[in-house]
Amino acid sequence: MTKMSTSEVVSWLENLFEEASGSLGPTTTRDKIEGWDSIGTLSLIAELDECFGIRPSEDELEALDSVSDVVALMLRNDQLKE
Amino acid sequence: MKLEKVEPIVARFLGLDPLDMARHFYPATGDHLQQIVDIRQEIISRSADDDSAYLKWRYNFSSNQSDDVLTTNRVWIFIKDEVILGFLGVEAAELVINNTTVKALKVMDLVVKPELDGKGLGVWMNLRLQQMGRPVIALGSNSNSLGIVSKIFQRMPNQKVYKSILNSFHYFRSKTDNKVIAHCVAPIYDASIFLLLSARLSAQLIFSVKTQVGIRKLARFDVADDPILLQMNNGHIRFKRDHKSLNWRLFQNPRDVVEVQGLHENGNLVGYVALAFRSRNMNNQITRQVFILDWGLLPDGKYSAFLKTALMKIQSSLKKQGIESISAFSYDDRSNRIFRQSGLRHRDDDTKTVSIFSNNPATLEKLKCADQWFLTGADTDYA
Repeated sequence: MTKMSTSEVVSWLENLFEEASGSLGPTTTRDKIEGWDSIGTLSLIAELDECFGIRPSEDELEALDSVSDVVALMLRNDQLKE
Repeated sequence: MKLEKVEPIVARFLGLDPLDMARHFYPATGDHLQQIVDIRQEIISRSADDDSAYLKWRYNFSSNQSDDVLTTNRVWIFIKDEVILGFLGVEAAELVINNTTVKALKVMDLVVKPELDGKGLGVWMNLRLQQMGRPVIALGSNSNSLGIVSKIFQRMPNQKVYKSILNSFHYFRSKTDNKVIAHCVAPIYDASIFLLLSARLSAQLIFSVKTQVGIRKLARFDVADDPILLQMNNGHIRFKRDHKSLNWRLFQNPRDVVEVQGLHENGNLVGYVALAFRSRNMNNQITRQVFILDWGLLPDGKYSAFLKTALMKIQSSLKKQGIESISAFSYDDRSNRIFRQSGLRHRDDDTKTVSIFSNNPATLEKLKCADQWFLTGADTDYA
């Protein structure tokens, strides 16, 4: 998959967590996202690997707690459009 | 969500080799019991006083791992460095589908340690169980497991809750801060219920039941009852009942006092109703509730009238004993109708989930027919 902008990452996460379009923003935290439960976490990790080749470390996985954390992870892995 | 996809991710969270995961997941033995009790107390606030006795009744903790682990009830634990990280209760059950018996697994009591919450261990354990080649039925879920069962099982309609308030003071007291109002309203309500029950019972006896129903307390079921027990609730998809399973479920549970009333026609058993008596503290007073834990009935339509009559007689008797309420889980139309016509009312709090899984598409299709299921509180952990 090609690099994404921040707004594209937000849309991608809305789709992944089966949330309504426009319901998430960069600052939305995990506890506000119903679909980001155990299965949501597993889907996110699997998709990060399959779509972007990103395999977060254990510490990075522990720290994923908001949309902005996902954006930051993609930035660190050079998968975010400038 | 597939096991192959989940396994490497959960293994990473746990710091394990994905190929090693299965080795850490096996049935608990007596050596693990105290850890399980401690975790249950920490996470789901089960009182430690009787939890050990309850678990020993419910599950086999034999250390003989050569037993076929899918033929007895076991707690499956995920363990690393001798520390249990999560577990689930698995009951070996038999489903009766169109007069055919199918071996199945019933899942309940899913618990994962809080520090692993959201890391997928509960998902992995359930997926692993689904790979064991039997239909898996998940009955009831707590806030921790609801998301999982909703996504990796086929969700069915929830079990319905029916209830009748027999002595209403504590009910009204819980609805108002004013004790005087409860004292005024409750006697009027109770008198109305008494009259309604008497009228319904009279009408039932006069117009519906030509043969006298014999209701007699049963001390236990006998092997000779098995053919009739197998016929009961025929036509429904149900968990198989026989004298052994019913004696275990109804009479040996250390947490429940259960009374079983047998329904007889000309001295022959045609049905039964199992009543579980429980106490709880309401407004600093101990109140007693009754739950219709289980029931069975021969399929002939006339026996529905027998059961309705029995339920009304039982309610009258419980009311005189000062029991606060009687309630039941219901799943099929026949049960709904019988409870409704016996004076119980459908409550809105239908929270007992029913979820199914089968690797076999034909079996799954059959199990998906929600209107054909027969389920009671005895099929799950009703508390």
